[in-house]
Amino acid sequence: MGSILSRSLRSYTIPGAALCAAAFLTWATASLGQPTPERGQQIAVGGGPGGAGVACFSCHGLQGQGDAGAAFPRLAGLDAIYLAKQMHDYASGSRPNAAMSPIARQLGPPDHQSIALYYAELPPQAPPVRATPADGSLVQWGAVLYAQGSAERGIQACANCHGPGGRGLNRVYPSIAAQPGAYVNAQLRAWQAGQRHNDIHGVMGSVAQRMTDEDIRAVSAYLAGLAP
Amino acid sequence: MATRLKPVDVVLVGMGFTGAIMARELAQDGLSIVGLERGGRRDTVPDWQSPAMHDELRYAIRNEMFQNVVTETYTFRNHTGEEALPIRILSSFLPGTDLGGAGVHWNGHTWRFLPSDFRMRSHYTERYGAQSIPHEVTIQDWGVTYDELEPHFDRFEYLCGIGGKAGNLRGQIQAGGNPFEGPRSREYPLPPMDPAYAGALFANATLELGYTPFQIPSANMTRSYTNPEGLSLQACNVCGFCERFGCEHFAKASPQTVILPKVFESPNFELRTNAHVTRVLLDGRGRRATAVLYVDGQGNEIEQPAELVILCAFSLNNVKLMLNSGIGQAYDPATGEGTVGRNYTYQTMSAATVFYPDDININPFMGAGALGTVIDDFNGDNFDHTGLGFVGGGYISANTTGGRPIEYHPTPPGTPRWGLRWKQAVRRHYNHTVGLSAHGSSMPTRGNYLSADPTYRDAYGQPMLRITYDFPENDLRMSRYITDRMTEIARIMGGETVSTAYRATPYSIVPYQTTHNNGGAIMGTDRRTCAVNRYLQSWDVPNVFVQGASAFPENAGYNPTGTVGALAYWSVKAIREQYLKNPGPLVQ
Repeated sequence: MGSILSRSLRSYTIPGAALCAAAFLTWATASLGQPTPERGQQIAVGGGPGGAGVACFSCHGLQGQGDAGAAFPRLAGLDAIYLAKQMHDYASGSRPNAAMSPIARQLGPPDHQSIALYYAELPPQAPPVRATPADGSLVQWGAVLYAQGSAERGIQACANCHGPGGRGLNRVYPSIAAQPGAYVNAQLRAWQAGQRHNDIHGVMGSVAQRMTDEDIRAVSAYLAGLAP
Repeated sequence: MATRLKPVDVVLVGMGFTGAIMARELAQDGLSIVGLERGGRRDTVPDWQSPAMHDELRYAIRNEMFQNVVTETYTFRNHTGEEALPIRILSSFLPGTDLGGAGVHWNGHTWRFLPSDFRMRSHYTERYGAQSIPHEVTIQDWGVTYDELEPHFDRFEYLCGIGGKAGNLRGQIQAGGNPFEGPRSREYPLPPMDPAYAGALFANATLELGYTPFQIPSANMTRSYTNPEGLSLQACNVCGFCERFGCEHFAKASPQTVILPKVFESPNFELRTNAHVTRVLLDGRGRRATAVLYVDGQGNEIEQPAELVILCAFSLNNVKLMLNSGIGQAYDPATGEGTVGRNYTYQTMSAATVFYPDDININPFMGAGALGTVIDDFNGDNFDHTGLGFVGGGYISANTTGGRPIEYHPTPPGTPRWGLRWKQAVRRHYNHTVGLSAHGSSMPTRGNYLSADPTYRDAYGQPMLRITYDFPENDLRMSRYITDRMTEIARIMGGETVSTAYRATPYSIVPYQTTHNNGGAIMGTDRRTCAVNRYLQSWDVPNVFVQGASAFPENAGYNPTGTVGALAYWSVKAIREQYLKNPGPLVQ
């Protein structure tokens, strides 16, 4: 299959078309050193080349459950390809983050993959510390936006891609259930401002730009209350 | 006794793409406009949101979005020697209903017909001589040229955010696009869709044979887009639920996403849903429309007087309304006289299937309605027809529109139709198969036509529309020729086996083919053969205009929507700039 695919991508390219899938595939193939979940666990618990100070667990928790108090996302149970792509994007700058970008740059693609494999295998669980409970009407509005969208603002339902209950569709659309409200809030603002731009064809930026502050707070509060 | 309402300036019958364009343009002239839609109102939010939208059984099998054949259907026969019977289950073609019409459930292929397609009889006569046109074929020129329509194609494509690559910019051939297309004044508004794996396999084979592959021009958004109306759409996420479904992502151009919100801002436009128009009322001499008659949601008969009536229903229903209202003379195949119902055409489809080894993963579910790679080398008169004995052609493409489980289960020839071995074959081939299709033109003949059924009536007491159609010999020859070319491509695509399905007579209304039903109220320069003039104005009743593919004198080898949109803008420009200033025939 590899030979046919590479042949097709070599000969049939279309001017003006960004072959995102092709670029991603090339990167994924190049980064396949010998990633293993065991190597991922070593980095998660002990830090990698950057030393113990940057071990994943110190922010994301020993079970990868995240930390709602500090807006650190849950990693446990997320899709491995999604996670590896995020590490790649932290390093490349398409998802810039003051804490994560330097860490991702210290680790090479095989380590990104190893970390992703490790966390993908952990059972998903909600962060133990919940933020202050949001008010009911805000959560309800978040649920409406999530399941139905907004006709007035031209926002399609989150559920169209991220699935019922925020479970995600593997590989491309991450599970976003039980992510800390502050984390989702910060991400939607990053999409909105164009700081984060690592999805296909800018869909999330376009959606976030149509959302009001209240919409963002509402969806964040709704997602934080879902079971992972 | 019908309730008579206050007169308005304009009544639009049908609120799909063309109705929405008429409403948007004419509202700017301050006219009072009523849009009558036989179905209900619906919109992206909340009606088309997933997961409920991704219900293949409800939408694709049980026909949720299509004309309800319990209240209104068509009768069908292959030729005049048969008795036509009502179609009880829609399947060969699927006319839409409800607000937005078929513009909601379409796939999004958005083509321009070739310059030669608009002057087909002249073109073949000039290049090959008059004798090259088979005797049975009643092709003609459209009375409008590609150059005249170009600004209107452009306008419709920018309205809809079409993703593609120009192949001919102001006469300069461009790499990556369709080198055969007519000259464009500018690029497409968005870049083309990324090719699917099936498309890439197809492209490699066509390159090897010296053809020019490119991506199908698509109304599935390839980027976020804000159109000239100020309405924003979002990038398609290739979920594979376009055809027969509404788009939950604001990612497919439909009246709802590209124009209707602007129409609803006009205080002089009124939408009436559940308003089923049964007839256009004419004055005593039959030379002027005075009103339309409709049945509302409560069963009341309403008469809406109007100065101008524009038929914007599905092509077949436009013709039905004209026949039942007495607008123009009904066509008679025995004498060849009359215009309404003449030159009904369809589309001549055929298919080839490539079955791959099980380590080649095609992933057909990652699809979009207009996601496909195509060659146009055998469309129209893009190839030498000398000695071939037919006119027309078609494009050949590999489309990845979504591998939905009820509809899509390719198996090689020889597989049983049911049972264990069928199940094993489906499992083996589902993810390892590429389908090609040849999308052939359709030429009119004297015997293929539309008429009022003498026996069957719909729930509103109106005669049903009777379709008399079979594939002409010309089209079968054309289809065999392009299907052979398609099979040659399929054979070098690297599969284990190839199967080909040629198009054969008789035409059957059972398997789905396309919803490209054309003609019956055709445009042209001769009032003896055409129901409408070059501005889509009725020759006989000048305050009636008839939009849509019913105006096609013959059908090219392309999907019709791009040309329907261009004709709508062309027609409404003439209405605004000429007709409103001096209401009367625009062509003497």
